[in-house]
Amino acid sequence: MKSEQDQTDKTHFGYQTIDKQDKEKMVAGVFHSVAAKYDIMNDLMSFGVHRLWKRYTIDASAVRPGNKVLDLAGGTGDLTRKFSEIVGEQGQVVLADINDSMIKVGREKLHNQGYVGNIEYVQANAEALPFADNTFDLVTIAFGLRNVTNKDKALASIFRVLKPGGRLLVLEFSKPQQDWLNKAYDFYSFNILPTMGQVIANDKDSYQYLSESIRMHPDQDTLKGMMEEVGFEQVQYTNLTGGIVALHKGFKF
Amino acid sequence: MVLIQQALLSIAEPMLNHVLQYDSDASNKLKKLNNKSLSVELTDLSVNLTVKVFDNKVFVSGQSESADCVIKTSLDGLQKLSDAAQITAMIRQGQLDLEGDLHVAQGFSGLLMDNDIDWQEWLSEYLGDAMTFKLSQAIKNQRTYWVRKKRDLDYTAQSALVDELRVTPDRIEVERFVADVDQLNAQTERLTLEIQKLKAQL
Repeated sequence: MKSEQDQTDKTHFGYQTIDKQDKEKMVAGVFHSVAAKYDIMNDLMSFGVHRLWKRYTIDASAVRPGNKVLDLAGGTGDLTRKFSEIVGEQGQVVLADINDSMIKVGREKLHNQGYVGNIEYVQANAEALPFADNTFDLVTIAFGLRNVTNKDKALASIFRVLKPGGRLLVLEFSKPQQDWLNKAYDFYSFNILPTMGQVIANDKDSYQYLSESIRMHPDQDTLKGMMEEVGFEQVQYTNLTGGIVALHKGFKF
Repeated sequence: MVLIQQALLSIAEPMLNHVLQYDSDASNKLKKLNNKSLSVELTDLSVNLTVKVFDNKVFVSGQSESADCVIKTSLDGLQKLSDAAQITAMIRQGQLDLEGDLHVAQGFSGLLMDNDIDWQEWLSEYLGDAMTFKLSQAIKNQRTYWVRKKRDLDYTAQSALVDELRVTPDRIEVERFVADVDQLNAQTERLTLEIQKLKAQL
């Protein structure tokens, strides 16, 4: 079930086909550019609904006090904050992101809100996670997997660091299930979103990339297959907002 | 539906934690419930709700995974749970299905429904003492007024139905009728026994 992209030297950067080695730098460029306005743009672009998608992810995590959690592509720390409250002093949350600008924004935000003590910040590539095997009870990756160059490799790396019995939650943009929603979503993504990016963040290109990268990301069933391929079991997904976003859940046994 | 539920929970959770600060006994109740979770499935609404306590804080979730106690009941049943002592009686009457630790259910019932929240203290933070006092008095007066009004209406309706329209019997008539029925029932049972005795002799 390895995706075609993962078997060649080429990959997507939005609608462009580029060399794999270039994608990391180009994605980094996008996130360096948007880091400062990331939270406000998320609220505006999703009309605040991203908070509910993330809340649902936390609900589905069944995380408990004392658990060790890896919030991969944790960005500005929305999930980390809540996990930190739940796992308590005995637990630990690792906010990992490949982009140091995003980590800086996330760390500053969480520090200012008083979330310290059980949070670690690690700059890490999802394809080669710098953690020992069987380390985490839970790994989440919210709106990050589509930016990873080799998704199969990243899923395998996540599988490795999860403890047996641990679960992976992938929250990611996906394919709307209704035709009319798909059309409305396309119109919004390619006409309104880049303009909003231009007006608010003065960065049309990054938000154009965001729309394109969403379209190039595997749909619900393909991602489910990819997770199963690397060893995850009981993989299932829940469509949110008509499939604009999907939450995939899988276990390592 | 999932997101509507999440929206409601995201409002309910902080509000609940905030309000519990005004219950003088909440801290003790929370300590006893630390690391415990109760899941409630409202059968008539097909809604799942899980309440957990971690580190003296209440978390509300829409998932019922691995709860220490799972309750299945109706919305009406949930309202009756305000009295923790009712739980056993409700299970016997089949109004409530409970799996797991009964003490956890009783603990959460005590925390969430049988509490002593100082509403005036809470309101005064937003409205000030004077306004809170006036508002409390107004609510108390309104409550008294409506209790009296309801009693008057009950009396008027009762008089109209019993004395004027004569469509329902008086309480004393009903009591006499019930006593007569009981007497008749006893006589019938006695007669049945006598008939059975006679049949056995034949």
